Amino acid sequence: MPKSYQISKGMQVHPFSDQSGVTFFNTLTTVVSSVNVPLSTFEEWLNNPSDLDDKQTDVLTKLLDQGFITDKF
Amino acid sequence: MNQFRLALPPFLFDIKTDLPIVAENAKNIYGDCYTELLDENDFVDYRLTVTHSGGIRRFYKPQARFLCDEREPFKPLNANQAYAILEWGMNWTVAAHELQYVIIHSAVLAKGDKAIIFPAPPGSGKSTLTAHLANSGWRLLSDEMALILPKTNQVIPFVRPVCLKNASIGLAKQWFPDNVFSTIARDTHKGDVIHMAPSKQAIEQNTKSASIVGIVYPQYNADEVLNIYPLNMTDTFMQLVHNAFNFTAIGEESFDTVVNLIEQTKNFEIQYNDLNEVDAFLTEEIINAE
Repeated sequence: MPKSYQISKGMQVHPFSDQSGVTFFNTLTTVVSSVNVPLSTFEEWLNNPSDLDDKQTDVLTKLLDQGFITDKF
Repeated sequence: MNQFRLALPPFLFDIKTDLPIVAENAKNIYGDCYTELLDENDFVDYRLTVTHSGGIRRFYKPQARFLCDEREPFKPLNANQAYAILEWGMNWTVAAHELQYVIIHSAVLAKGDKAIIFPAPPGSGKSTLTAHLANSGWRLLSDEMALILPKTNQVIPFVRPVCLKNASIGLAKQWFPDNVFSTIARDTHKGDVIHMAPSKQAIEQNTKSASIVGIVYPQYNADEVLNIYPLNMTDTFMQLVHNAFNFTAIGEESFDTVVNLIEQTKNFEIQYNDLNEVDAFLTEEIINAE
């Protein structure tokens, strides 16, 4: 796991106002995805991926594979 | 070949057919929206054909083919299903070509200028619920697709008949004996199918848009009283995208439309076995809610 991640350029991100989650739209591939945590929690995931449990890590790995997030160096 | 036009706002269809069952049913179902005196130079949105398959098939197990501007999206069906293939073909035509609307596979019903959309998979009881509500004070905008103007919450009517299947056919004829029905298309891939004409009121208001105030995913369950599950916005979004016909084709504008819509709507999943209970819930908790 890298030290942290960031949302890739060109991604549309919408945090829903009910705090139920964040949805992503890849404007290049038109793929859509979402995570069921508020934006503030998701940002913590991106900043501290080594603190995540296996399930949360799987979510980030999937977003990484889909190009929604990238390594932050 | 018979030739007729269906004026079904926001689209005009010119249809050619050599199967009498198609024109007879279209005339019966669409009433004043059906005309036969056509000027071929008129602008129409789509030119469709429902015709017999050629060769020996015409005499031995005759089949009907659907063509949209000379393209054939489906395999031929039995000739007794020719009217159903026209209706399904019109659905396909709009879903496959229209990019000025975000199109969701969904029923749409309204009270006043407030609409609820009902995205649902086959077998959910969506069309039976639609038929009931459309005959209980709700305005039918569509049984099949929500045409949403991009970057708004406005849904445009596309008033067509309600497609009923199997056991629902007998129920609908029993509940609404004065309504107009097509002939039955037997043994389709969906089972027996019939189309129930929209009401005169729905047709009279077929250019009047409505504001979407609710998104409800219905599921009929004979063993369940009304169970209501509020849906959070994220889950509503993913389900709605799953039911969108043209989300990827429209792209970013579609994404913006759907997320902004969901920020404004009340969203539920319901299981039900009593249509009147559903009607009361929708009216009180969504339409009349502030």
